[in-house]
Amino acid sequence: MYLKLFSYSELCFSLDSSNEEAMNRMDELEALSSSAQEAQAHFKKWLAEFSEHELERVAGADAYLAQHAFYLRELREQAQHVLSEEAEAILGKLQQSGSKAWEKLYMRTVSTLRIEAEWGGESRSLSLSDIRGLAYDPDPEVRRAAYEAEQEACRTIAEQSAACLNALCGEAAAIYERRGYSSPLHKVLSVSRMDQKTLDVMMRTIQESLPMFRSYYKKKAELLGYPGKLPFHEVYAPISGEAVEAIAYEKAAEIIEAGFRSFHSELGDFARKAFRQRWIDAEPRSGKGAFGMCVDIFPIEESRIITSFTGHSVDVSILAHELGHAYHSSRLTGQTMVNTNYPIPIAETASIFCETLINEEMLRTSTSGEAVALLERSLSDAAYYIVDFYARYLFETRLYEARKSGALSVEAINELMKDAMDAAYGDSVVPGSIHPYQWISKPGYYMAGNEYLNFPYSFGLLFSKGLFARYKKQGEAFVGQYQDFLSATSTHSVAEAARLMNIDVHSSEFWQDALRLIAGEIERFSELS
Amino acid sequence: MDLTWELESLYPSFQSESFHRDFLQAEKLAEELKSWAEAHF
Repeated sequence: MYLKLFSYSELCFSLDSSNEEAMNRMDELEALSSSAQEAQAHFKKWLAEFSEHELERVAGADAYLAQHAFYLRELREQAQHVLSEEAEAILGKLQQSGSKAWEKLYMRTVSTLRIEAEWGGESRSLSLSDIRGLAYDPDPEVRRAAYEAEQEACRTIAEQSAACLNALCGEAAAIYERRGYSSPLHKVLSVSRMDQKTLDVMMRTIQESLPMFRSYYKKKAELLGYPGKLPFHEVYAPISGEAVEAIAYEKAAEIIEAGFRSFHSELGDFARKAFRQRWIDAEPRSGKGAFGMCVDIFPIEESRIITSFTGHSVDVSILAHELGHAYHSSRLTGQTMVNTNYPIPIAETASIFCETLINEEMLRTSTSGEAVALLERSLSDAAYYIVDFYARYLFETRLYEARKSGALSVEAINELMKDAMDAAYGDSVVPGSIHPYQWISKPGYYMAGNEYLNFPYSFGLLFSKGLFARYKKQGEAFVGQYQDFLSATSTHSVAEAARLMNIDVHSSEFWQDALRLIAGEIERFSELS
Repeated sequence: MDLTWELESLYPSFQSESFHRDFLQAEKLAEELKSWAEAHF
């Protein structure tokens, strides 16, 4: 019932961010959920008294408890990192004027920052996120001017941002150590249901794949008319093929249903149901962001999707992506609410899988111009999650290490950022074109309690591509295993869920297969463009 | 094909009787759950 109420409020808000009633209802419902969280805290504390062996014995003796054994084990594990009631109470209060306050200061600094820019004879007053969005503008002059404006704007708030970052990192490291984690990374791995070995193998394979992504950036430089290397402000530049006829929404629905059906009738039927029962708000309207979003409403066994459909082939990909999220949730219906949570590394599996399925279908029948645009979007996303997030992972790891010796100056943080970006982008970008304030323009570094918002997403992208590579090898034999895997994602660790599909995430072979799929796309992109 | 979604199967509006009723019920259940957990764990 709570989820139904919250989903309705959230959906109304996402349609119109000025809807005050929806905003107020969301606030009220969030306050209400604190009672449930308090109840869970009591339960967790009680559960912490159980030894691992005792918990297994109790859970094994009752069918209902056995159904929730994973949830109970996870809760017990989390309880091992909870401090005494008094310490938790003090910590909670101090964090309000500590990390939470630093986060708010950063968010406020950034949200009130106005950047006066002038190009094409037009003056504009833009926010930092508006400026960052211009990296995708079709006009190269706008992209260049926006990047320069971003750098200058970041420079003006560098001291405040460094103070916020130092405080947030310092508090996170101190608290996680007190909670018994070996590092902030250890804590993130734990909540991501990932182990260190999986991360190590994945990161090593990513590192080995960087030359491949650099060849994509170099090709992009060539297409945009730059000799050899890409200026960094052009990394997200759109590459559009020749103008093609817009795709009607009905046609998009047909493409998706047919593409999904080619995988399995259940997936095709699911897409048909979503379109026929009007789960999707696809009409482009002002006040509605250009993003895609899926809200799963488990109590009514349905989802709702928000997107802006303008008839481009990428809009069809986005629709397929969001329907993939909804399909993942449909594989969890019938589970109790506590058995429907899956962690970030797994959250993008079905969405990227469905998107790849439809992209392949569209690539098969598209003109070369459409194919270039589709491949560019797919590769740009993949490179973002692999190359840029690799840099962010390196930066954050080195930041925590350096922070142990005290607060870092703006110059020292800039140096860490520059080294991490150079390690990731290498010789594919023009030397010196990456501004060193990348740590200011990414709000993820300032979200208290949400460290390392990077490698779980790299995992998600690669894991999904790896599954698709396997589907291409195994064909129909893959389908049933995949469906069972999706159903198991909320009640297994990442490695255990993968093992259900005979995938060993500790082996580099699986990750290499995923990267080979991307290598094929880069090859095709180079041939067509 | 309609490009807008259907939300009525959730609630007709924030002012609807069903939204109000569910909200009160959720409030009551959250409090009961908290009290129960305090008493038992």
